[in-house]
Amino acid sequence: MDDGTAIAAPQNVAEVEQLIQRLYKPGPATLVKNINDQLLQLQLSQDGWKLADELMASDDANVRFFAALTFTVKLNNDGPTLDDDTAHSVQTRLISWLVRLVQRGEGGLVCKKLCSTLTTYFLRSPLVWEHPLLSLAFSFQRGDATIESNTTRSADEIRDILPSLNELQLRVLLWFAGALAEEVSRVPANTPAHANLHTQMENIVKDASVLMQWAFQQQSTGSASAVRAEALRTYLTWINYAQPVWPRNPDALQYLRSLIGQASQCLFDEDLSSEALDIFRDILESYTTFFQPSHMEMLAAIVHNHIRPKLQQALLEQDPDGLPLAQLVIAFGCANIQQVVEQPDSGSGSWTVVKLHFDIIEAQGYPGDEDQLSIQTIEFWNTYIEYVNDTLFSKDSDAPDPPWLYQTRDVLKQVVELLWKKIWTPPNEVAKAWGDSESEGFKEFRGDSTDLMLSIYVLLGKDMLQQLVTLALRSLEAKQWRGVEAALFCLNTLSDNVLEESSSEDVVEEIFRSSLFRDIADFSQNIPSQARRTAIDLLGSYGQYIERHAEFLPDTVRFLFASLEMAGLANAAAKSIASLCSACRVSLTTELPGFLSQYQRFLESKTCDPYTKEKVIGAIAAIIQALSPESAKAEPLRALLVNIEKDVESAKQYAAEGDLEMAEVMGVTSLESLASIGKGLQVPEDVPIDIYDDNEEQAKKPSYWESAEGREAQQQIVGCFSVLQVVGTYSAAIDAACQVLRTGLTESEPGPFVLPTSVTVNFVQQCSINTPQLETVLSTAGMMITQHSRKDSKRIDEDVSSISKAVAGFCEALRQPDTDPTVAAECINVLSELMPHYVHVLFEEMSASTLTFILAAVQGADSMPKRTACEFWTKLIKPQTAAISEDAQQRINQVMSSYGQQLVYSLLHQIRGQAQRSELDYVCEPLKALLLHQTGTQVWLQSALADERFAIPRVTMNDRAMFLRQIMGSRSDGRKTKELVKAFWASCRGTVVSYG
Amino acid sequence: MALADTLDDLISSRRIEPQLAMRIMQNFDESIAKVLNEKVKARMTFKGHLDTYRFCDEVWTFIIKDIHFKMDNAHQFDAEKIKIVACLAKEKAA
Repeated sequence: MDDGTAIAAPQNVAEVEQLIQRLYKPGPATLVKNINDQLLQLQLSQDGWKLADELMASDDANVRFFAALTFTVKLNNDGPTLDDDTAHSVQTRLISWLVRLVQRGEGGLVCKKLCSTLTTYFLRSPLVWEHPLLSLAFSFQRGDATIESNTTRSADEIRDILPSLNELQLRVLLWFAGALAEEVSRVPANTPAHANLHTQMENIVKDASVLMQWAFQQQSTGSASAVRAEALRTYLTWINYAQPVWPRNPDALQYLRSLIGQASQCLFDEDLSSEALDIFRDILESYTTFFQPSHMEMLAAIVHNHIRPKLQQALLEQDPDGLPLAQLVIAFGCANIQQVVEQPDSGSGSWTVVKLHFDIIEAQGYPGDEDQLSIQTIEFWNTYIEYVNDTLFSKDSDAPDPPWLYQTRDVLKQVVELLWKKIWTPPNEVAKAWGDSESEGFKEFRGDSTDLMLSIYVLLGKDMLQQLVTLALRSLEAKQWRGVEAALFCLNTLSDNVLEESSSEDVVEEIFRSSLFRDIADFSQNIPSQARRTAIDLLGSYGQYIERHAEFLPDTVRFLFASLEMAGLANAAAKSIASLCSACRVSLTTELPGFLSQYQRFLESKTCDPYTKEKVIGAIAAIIQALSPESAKAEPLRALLVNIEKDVESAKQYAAEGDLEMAEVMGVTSLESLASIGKGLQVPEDVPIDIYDDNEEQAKKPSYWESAEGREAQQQIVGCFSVLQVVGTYSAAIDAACQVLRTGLTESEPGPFVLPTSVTVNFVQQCSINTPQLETVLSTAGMMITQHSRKDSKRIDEDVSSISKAVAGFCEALRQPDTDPTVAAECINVLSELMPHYVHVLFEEMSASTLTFILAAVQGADSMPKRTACEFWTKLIKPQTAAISEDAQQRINQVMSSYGQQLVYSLLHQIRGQAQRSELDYVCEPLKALLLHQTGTQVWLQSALADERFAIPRVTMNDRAMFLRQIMGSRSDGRKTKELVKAFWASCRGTVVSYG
Repeated sequence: MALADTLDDLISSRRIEPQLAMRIMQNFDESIAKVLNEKVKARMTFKGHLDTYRFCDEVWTFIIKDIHFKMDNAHQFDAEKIKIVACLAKEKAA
């Protein structure tokens, strides 16, 4: 069908030019593609060289750019196979064009592209080009292409030429030098094929350094400044090249190091200082060892004499231009961290660095708002404390403390106090004017600051805790609530570490014995709600402390329940109730009746929403979990379940009235709350085990939850699933129902939510291919099978058989994996879980059509089913990891002899180019297993590789035979197999083996 | 990996040259590192038992068992085992 975008093949150069011009104009995607295809054919044709040469003469810069691109395409395709004469001719044409275009004042677009093309020539030509920069410089001087003979030349030659070149010629030379460094850096340095290129660079750097030296000497005014700017960029590119390639080549590096002094002069140049600051920062951050001690001394002097006064002025004026200055100071500090820590008073600017970092945090303004610098300093302090901690932890425990430690502790205490002051929340009038970006920025700074404090705590320990508690109490006394809040915020972050040391409890006690919580609980006091929220968070964070000091516990929880009904505090209170009740469950069992009635009251309050409801019901469930014996749990649990049942009924009522939206809200809330109860009732992982109680008689005793009374509570839980009759078509409801089932599946002992396996089986059986979130249901079923595949767990053949039947039904309903790739992947995953313990069930229930379905997933385009299908076949091919019956093993052998050839064909279909790079790892797994464990693999591979359907023009029969030989030889080396597959896949796809 | 897959498609169909693909990948690597460093605000803490650790060819590998994760939105979850592979973000060679 002609949609007006069909393109006829151009008949002459003028028509080609017109096509190129249309290509660069906006137009429909199909038109662009069609033009591109036509042009690509021309580029790849034998006349491509000639065409490129003719297009270079065009008046249109886009056409000239395309001409340079055509040279690149030809070089990429044919470069290595050119004969010497053609290669020489291409080189001459390219240089000649560049020289002539520069003479005519060509713009950057085409010149840069030609420099890149020349670089491609350098990389791809069979001729060695020893002095590319000298050749181009010579050619510029003489006005036409002049290729030097490959004899040894001195750097003086280029030095003599450079004064005769104009500014544009110098800039083009710098572009070319930069392009060389950039492109060669992507060539692997450790392969013999490419080693020569890198050896050549050791010579080229001589010319490059003379070129950059000359460029740095240009005047710092007018257009000559552009040459200096270009020299800076080229300099950075060469340093980036040198870093991985010349770590042990100080001679080559010296050519670049010798330019540091001249490059640093750009820091003083008004036009270049911003770029120079960025470049020096970049080198300090990524290649510290490029600078030798003498260079660091020089930079220290620049920081002290030149940057310090400018930065301090910028801080005073809140001038955003201070940012690059601060960044350089930070990078310099990090690069010199050993000196800064160990010789704080040395002449290398250590104290200047520390003092400037203090100044930055002390400056006016809120981080994220007008203060953009403080957040940057965190990186320096992180490096500082990391160095200190590393040094102290790696010294012998009986070795004396280093002499600098006293001063370091002092510095870090100052940092803590400065950060505390900096994270005070702003007054309302400031906060109200903030947008999302400012609020987020401030929040980020608080997070970064407290992360840093965690690292500092490792060194300062109890002293730091005392410092923060003192700051909190001092602020409390002064009713300075923002100061209190900031200190409590820090204490919250430290809670996990503080609670690990019982010796710190006396310091924490100062907070709990203070008037803090009395004041906070007094809702008549005008206290910022943020301070109240942070204090509530503190109760959650220090739950373990409160657990050990039961005297604080009841009042604390009562205060939290009271806060639960206060708008603005409800969420924080619910969160703290959840974490406190979970941590202190054993101590709170006597309070349970009170909490149950408080919960009933809360359900009537305005702050009761799905989030708070779910948190609090889970909290109460955690207390119920701590009751003993098990039978004691039933009554309070059933009291909680009554609330869920009410929600279930209400969802049904709404549905009957046609209010489906409310039916969904209530239905999903009921199931999510049920899951929250289930989670609360899970046995904590750190529960002590009574080793004397572990006798056989005890183990044989049936659990309360298997008795009639226990089953009744479980029936009540299962009854709540009836809400699915009205909300079963909603994803969130199915998700929540799966959550309920999962809470029991992870338990190792019987419990109220450890429901009979038939409940999960029924749930799966009630699903159809149209059930939303069917993949979650299947993964829940898979989880159940995994739990019952563990050593010593009860085998459930009958249930697994029912699930397998259902799964096979889903596969049949799907017909092909690509109908619903997610569900297909989960179906295959469940079947995979049957190996090894239910392998007999697998073969009872699995029909040929299911196996074909799994095979189709290997051959298909969808990643997820492909992955699980590859895992399935790998598991099947490898020896089973548990003993299986002879009959089952025979069935596996039969499957492999029937499907082996097809599987190999499907895998090769992926390897010949169907698979994406990201899929190769798992596509290799079944192949590796086949090579190791299936004797027929060589024949299957041979047959598949010879198949007509495998034919690809890029890969000859010889290539295929070579691949077969190599892959068979790699059978015992999985890594080698993977490498071979990747290389073969890249040849088939016509892409690169790696991206460097 | 998604970008690599896309670039492979473009190279295979000769829509771009390998040099451009490598340049795109390099830019992506630089930018993603910058964005993750500067823009991502989410945090997570975790605790677990360090089972194995090694430092080979400048690459750290940690295998941690029984891990408890805490997200900054208060969401918490557990995992049986995780593997952390890390290398220096800066200073490629010394």
